[in-house]
Amino acid sequence: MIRSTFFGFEAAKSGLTAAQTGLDVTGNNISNLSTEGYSRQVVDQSATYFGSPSDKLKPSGLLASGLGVTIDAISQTRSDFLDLRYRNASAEDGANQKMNAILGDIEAIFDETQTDGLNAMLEDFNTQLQELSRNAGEVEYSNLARSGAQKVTQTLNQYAEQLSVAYGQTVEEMKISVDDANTLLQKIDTINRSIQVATLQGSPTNELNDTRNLYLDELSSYMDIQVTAHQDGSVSVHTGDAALLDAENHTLVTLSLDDSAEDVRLLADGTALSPSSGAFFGSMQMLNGRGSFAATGENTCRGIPYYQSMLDAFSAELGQALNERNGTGKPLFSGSTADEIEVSEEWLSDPNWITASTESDADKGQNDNILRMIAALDQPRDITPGFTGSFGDFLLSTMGEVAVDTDYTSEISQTSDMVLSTVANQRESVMGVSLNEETVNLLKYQKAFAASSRVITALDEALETIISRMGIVGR
Amino acid sequence: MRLTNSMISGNYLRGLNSNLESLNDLNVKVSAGRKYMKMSEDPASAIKAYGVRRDLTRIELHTDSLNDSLSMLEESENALSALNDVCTNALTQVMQASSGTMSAADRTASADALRSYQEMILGAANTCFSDRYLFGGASFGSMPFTVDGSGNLCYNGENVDTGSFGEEHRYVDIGIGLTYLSDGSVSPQSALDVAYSGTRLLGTGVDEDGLPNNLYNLIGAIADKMESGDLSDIDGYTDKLEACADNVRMQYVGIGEKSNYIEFFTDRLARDEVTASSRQNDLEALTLEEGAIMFSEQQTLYNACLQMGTKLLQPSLLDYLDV
Repeated sequence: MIRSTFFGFEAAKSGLTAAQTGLDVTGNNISNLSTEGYSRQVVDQSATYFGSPSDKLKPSGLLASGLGVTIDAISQTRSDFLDLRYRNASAEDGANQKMNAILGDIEAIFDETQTDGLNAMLEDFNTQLQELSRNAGEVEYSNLARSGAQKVTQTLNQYAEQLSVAYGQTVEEMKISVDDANTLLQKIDTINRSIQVATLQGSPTNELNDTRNLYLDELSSYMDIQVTAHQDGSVSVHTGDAALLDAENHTLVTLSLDDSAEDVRLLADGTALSPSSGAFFGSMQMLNGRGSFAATGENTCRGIPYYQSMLDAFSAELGQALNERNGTGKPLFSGSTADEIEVSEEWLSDPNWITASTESDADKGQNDNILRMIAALDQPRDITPGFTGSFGDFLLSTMGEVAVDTDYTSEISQTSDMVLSTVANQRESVMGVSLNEETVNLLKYQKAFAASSRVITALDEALETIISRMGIVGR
Repeated sequence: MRLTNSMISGNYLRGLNSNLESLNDLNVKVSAGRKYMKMSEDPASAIKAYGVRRDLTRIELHTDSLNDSLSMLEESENALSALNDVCTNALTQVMQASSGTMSAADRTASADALRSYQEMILGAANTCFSDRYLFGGASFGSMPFTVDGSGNLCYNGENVDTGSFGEEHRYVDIGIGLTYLSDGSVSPQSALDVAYSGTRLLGTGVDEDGLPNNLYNLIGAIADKMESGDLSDIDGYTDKLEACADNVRMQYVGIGEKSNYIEFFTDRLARDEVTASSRQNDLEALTLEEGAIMFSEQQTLYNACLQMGTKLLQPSLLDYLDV
């Protein structure tokens, strides 16, 4: 079979084009060296061949090979498996970071390492009562005891206030995050449509994919998401059983936060979602966690409501214990929750309202009842269903719970952060741009380009020989 | 593993950051002299340390209570010493009178002297120290001994000769575990009893011969006797006065016993304080050497990290090629 005259030129030309494309892609990779979310692109090329199922059309002999090179695609190096792992790790980390941040706020309220808080105030009150017991009946000491009591109630009020501020801030932050998640879902939906069109047109979607992956990564820090890819390039997003974005049926939910009831709920078009990780999960653990106060079906995490209930139980018991000691109808404290407890009006207007003695008049200076109050403060009592101990012990135990929980979430958030960065590294190892590698590619494609050019020159010279120099003997 | 440039720079930055964080953390700790700055950094130590702080506050408080009781006791000792002197002088007066060589005028003078001793006794028994009546027993607030319109001595409003007086207690919590008995009274072993009953000081009631047990009333009765001039049964009075004087002297001497008891507890608290302070130190304080070594280690690490960066981040194959 005879070879066509320009057969080699086509092959060499395809080599030039491939090398040129290779240079372009390498250049693109290098320019995106530091672009966040950029996946390295590679030229998929293969030796050209004629493929046909029909024997009739099948080329034979020499024509079947040496046809040059074909650029199949410019593809991305990305692993779906690592994307999945990354998003799981990101959700886990999101939850831990959130809980750690909120517990850090709670800890700051209870922590007395560098400042004086409730524990110190309670001790101070005890000291003032002891002073009063030595100087019973003297109004200035009654005054001091009263201001000691006021410091305790004011600190309790302050703690309750700070806890409710922390609660409010967490709700606000979560609302902002919910808005952000909605925006992300909308963006993903928009890109889905662009990708669908581009896929239909046969245009490349690499950069669109990268952007959508970035949005999905971001969304995964808010909650646990499952991403399903479809034939047309679009993706659907689910959390648990609930669909957030259904690309096949073209539905997109709007997330919202309902904080009108006792428990904060995350709604998707009015239906409650229960994410199992992510920042939303972390926030809801802290916002709804009632710890040992939880009724059946309620959240048993030790969150803000738990610590509020602990302070309320403390306030109620403290008020009741001392009111009882002071005598019937002679309350020292009014209000039974941490945000309401205060020194009673009667005690405020009369320092000696505190009963120093049940045996004689106040001016006699007997102290038996003050001693009973001091003993009542230290006496073990059932402050919450699971706790028996003195008021001071109760505070230490509550502070211990805060410290241990904060320590724990800080440890696990460090661990989950490490896991996340390990997975991110693994993913980066696949999709990232290596300058060395690209430089090598640059050399490779440059050489390929030069070589293909040389082939054309050689073929050209060969033809020149045939056209200009062949058959001129004796001219 | 395929290493890319952003991995290297990302990892490097993370490492550098965490090194700097540790450095800053140590700096804060060293400058504060503390092992931890937040309780979550070391929950076990932090909670123990809060307990130790409470112990220290209480030790200070109880030491204060004991010192206060001791100074009251010292004041009582002064009053008893004065009372003892009065008793001695009164006895001398009565001895002289009972020798029977006194003229009527001398007897009147003697009676006057005895009446002035009575005033002194009253003054000593009503000693008030920083607004507290030392011999008021359970009550500190009001003057314990008063003389009513008909000249009878009353203790807390009750006639000392005819009234009935129970035991009096006034407890101070000194940190030995204040507990209550089933009848609602303080368990005597669990607190310090600081009541000094005026009835014990001066005596109450009358004996089988009709003589008052009370020092003040007895001296009054003797003065009456001298003024009446009939000194035939004065010996009985003298013996009684001697017994009363002995009683005062015994109390005077007994004070030492009680102050020893208080000092024993004060010493114990002082030892407890040393233990608690050193425990607090162990739990919370970062020694300067420890901190300085840790800090300089961290600093070396940080410097090394910085130096490595200049070598690690700069070069790539590009730097060695002429393309």
